[in-house]
Amino acid sequence: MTQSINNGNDSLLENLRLELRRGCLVLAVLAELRNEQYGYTLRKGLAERGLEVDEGTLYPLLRRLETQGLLASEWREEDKRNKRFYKISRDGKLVLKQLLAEWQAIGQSLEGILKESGHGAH
Amino acid sequence: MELINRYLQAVKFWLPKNQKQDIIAELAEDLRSQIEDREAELGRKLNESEVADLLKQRGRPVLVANRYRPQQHLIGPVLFPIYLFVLEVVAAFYLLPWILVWITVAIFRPVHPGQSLIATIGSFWTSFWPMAFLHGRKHHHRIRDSRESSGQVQVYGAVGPAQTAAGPRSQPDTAFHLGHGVDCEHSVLQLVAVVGRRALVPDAHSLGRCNRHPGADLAVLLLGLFAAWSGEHSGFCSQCFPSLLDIGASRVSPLVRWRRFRDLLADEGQHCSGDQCRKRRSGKNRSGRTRDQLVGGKIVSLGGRCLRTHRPEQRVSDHPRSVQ
Repeated sequence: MTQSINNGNDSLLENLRLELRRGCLVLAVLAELRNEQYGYTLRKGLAERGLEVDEGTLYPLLRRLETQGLLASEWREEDKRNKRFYKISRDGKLVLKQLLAEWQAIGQSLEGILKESGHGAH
Repeated sequence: MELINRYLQAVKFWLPKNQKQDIIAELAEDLRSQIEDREAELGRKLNESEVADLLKQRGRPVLVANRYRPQQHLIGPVLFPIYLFVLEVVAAFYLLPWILVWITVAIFRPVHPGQSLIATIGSFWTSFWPMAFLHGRKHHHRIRDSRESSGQVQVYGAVGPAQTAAGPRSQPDTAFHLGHGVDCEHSVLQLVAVVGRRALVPDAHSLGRCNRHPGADLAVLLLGLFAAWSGEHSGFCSQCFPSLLDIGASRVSPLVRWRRFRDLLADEGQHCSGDQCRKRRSGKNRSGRTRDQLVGGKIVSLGGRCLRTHRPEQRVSDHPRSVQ
């Protein structure tokens, strides 16, 4: 019984965690692509900074952002292999700036809320 | 490498047509980069089982490809409550009468008791799916995040309609006659239809007229489709939802036309030749074309041709299952 409750909590926590990360991921990808990169190096770069993303999430996201005009991409040969390089577009830079402002505002608000309720983030 | 190619081909099969090459090229490049990285770490080439493990980590080809498809919903979260409401109403006015009918059939059917029981259980299951659906939904709410429960809901939801769709033609005929052309099953349904019609039709009208929300339109369309389909099989919904059928008629016109065609074929050779029907046959609209007529939710005339079915007494008494 307790185990099933724990399992339920685990899956609930996992869902909430994914939901929380989903929004941050767009921000991270846009920020990371201020320097041109191809998919695999982007994924590695994010993982090294503690934000692991599987390719099944990253590549569709890159395509979606490109469709929305926030990224630009081109196929280019590197090390005798064709690779698709992504870079943030002018619109993307504008959106990133606004998103970062929003992110900081949310962070400050949340910090205030947590301090008031005695759950200060360490 | 052959393993990777096979994997990529399997993914490619499920991808959207216009993006197949592009996505596969990118996926292939990502896989090769990952393998090279791994080989550099290990200082040797990866063997086949290690490559297989790597591919397994990526997931099933269909799931991988599915992430590249645009998000599509048959019924989105906005429409789902209306959809559910429609299903519940239909289930409530469909399940109970059918249980009563089948219990009655089981008691009075003049065949071998064993055969009757099996046939009744089979037929009962056909009408059991609305209850199964409701149970599945209840279960789904109780353990909302459990994959198992949503799987059960899907099974409940899928098996029932499939049975229902296959049932009316494959199951034994459960309708029986009490003599003098009185179809017992039909009479019970007509009785329930009176109650059901009063409760449901005002709601359906308000959905069709007042709400401009696309969800309401879809709900009416679904009800119209169900009414047309069900009327095809039992005559129940054409009695219960005639107004609804009218509302949905323009939206399901191909289905309605097909229904008329079926009626025409089924009633061939049983046309009324009375004076009243001759008058109907001569009815014409403003453009001079003969018109179809809808009386009590049933089409009695198609292009001026009378389709009203009469049941001569001797036809009923000749029926092998008639109770004399």
